Amino acid sequence: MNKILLIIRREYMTRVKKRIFLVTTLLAPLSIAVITLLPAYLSTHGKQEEKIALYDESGIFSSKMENRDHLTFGHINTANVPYDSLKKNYTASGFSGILRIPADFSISQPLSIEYFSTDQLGLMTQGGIENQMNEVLRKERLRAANISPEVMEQLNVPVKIIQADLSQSTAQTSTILAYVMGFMIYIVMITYGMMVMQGVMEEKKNRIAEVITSSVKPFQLMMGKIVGIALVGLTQFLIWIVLSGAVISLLKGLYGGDMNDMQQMQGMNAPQQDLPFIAGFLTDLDKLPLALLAFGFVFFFLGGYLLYASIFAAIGAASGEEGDQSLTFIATAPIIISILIMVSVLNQPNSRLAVITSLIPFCSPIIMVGRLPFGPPAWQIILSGVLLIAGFVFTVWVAGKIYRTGILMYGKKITFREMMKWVRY
Amino acid sequence: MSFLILDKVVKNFATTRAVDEVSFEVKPQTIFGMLGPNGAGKTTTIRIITTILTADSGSVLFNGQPLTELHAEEMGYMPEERGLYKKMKVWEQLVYLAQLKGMSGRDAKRSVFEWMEKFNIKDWWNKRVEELSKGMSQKVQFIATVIHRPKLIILDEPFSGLDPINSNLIKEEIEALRKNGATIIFSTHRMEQVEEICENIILINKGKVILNGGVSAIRHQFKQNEFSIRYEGRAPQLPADRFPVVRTENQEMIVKIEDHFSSIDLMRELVNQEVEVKSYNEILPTLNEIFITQVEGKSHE
Repeated sequence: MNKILLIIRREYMTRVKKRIFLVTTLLAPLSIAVITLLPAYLSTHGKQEEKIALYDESGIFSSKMENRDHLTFGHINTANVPYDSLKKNYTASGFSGILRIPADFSISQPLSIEYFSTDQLGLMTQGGIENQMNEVLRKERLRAANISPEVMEQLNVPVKIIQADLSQSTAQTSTILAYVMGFMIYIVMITYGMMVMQGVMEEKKNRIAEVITSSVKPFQLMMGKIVGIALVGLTQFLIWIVLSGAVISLLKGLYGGDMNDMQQMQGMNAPQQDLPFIAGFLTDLDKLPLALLAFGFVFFFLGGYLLYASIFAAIGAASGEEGDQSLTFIATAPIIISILIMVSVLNQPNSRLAVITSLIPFCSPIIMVGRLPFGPPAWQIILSGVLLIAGFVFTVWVAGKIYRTGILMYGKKITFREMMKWVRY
Repeated sequence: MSFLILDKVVKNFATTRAVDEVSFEVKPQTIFGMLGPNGAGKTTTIRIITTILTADSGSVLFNGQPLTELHAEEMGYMPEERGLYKKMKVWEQLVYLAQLKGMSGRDAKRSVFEWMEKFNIKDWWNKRVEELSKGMSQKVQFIATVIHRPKLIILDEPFSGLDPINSNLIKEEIEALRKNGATIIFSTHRMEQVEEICENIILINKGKVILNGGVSAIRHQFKQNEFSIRYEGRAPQLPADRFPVVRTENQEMIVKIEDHFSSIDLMRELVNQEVEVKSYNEILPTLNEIFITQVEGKSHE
């Protein structure tokens, strides 16, 4: 068997067999799923039923408040029940509070409504009540101004902006996707880069490097480690892709199969949050060029990983037993800067900053991936890809030189300048 | 025909010349000692032989051929600072290292278990290296060095950290490997082991070979012409111009024989004085003494 394959296999197997690999692989998407699904679930299932006594002395609201969203109204006959006695027994009747509209309430000055309860009125509940009352009041005011319900209906047709250039997608979904993919590359590049660095440092510290390099070339050892760890990352991605596929179909099941219904609902009550939002996200997702995104993601991950992992390997070889913070910073700084630029680039995915930074090999793995859902011109994607390949070939070459010298150098603190000297050996 | 020949090998690092025209030959099936203080250039020389480094100039012949990376598979190297993956299981690690030396997986596995049986660590095959005692991981390291049946074995301080029993075990194994055809280079500071084990040695200091030859030849080369005389009864009265006394203690006298005189002259003198001699020995300097005088002498220059 080829020796570099042996090294790749060892690097891969020792990591995949560890319990921590299974734990992180399963926990990471689980926590993401919990974070996204929990609010949606709670907004539909988690609310407590609230029954409110409507004590309407003005008679404006009494028959017009509807029961919706876990909120029901009990209409109290103000002629039979005095307000003071209701205040004493409302809990016994199963109400959580009393909404009192005084007799002198006027639709032009709706100020004197009070809510009586020992419990604090929830923000959502209060909003729900206010929305309904406003609707009722608006209708009353229109009627007072002699405008018929038909005219009102016509006045209410909302405008809808359709972005023609983004025919495949909507900006919101693209942004979310860009964030998720950009941050995933960021996290994975740093964690796997560090893993490479740790591995190199361990080999140097254990002096096993000396045993191994008497069998294989240092470059083989370095590349074996980098590729082996890349395969660990790809394995993790594969598991995640399968899992997220499962989660998406689970979501589709949860929020109803018919996506067209969802869209209609979204059009109907636009601000009504989570349920149509997730449905909309899912329908948009179907419209995006998912194959291109997946390919771009894997390509830029691999390119960026190779580029940074080789730098991390060189740093691991050059640093002493405890590692070297300032040398490590050489590798982490551009990654961190890239993610910061990406966040601002997402607002203007075709700005000059976006185009330039998505071509630079040190930033493109994060920034070009962030731009991908917005459909950047093909020439930019291809140029960025070619430059990235050239970039990692260069860093792997430089890192190989530094690694070769550093891995066998003990007991000496290495400066960046010395490291650069090794390149010329 | 020597198995390994280094001819004027030079290796420079940024500002220093670590190996300075080092030349020596190692005969096949011998144990060759490489001595020298820390930083003398031993490790760099070894790394050139093991193809980890390449020489700037000079040549290395391995078994009659110019040294290439392909020869790495025919060598086993145990560095002074031992190196094993701490988290890996003993057998997996040994099989892995053997495979890197070009053994097939099946061959390696069989060989690993044979060696573990021989070294009495078979019960530990499935343990991680970090769970082993120091002596045990030493044995594992030794197995890793010789498992692929190398023709040239390079051992850097192979006995450090071993108890006498395990030391002996390793010593016997080294001798057995030599008998079975291996050539062994043995780098150490422990001179008494060199005297005991090695046929030929070199002494390296500051990148240069300062001594090269057979152990007994070197000891004779540096002898001070001193003799030890053990006697009973009356002490000899020796003429100070010919046989100055170095020291006397407990019926033993150390005497130096000046130039132009020989051991026969001294014995004749003793017989003439009717001294009751119990033993009469030439005192050869130990390698340790030679090592110290040579290294110190050179550094005073």
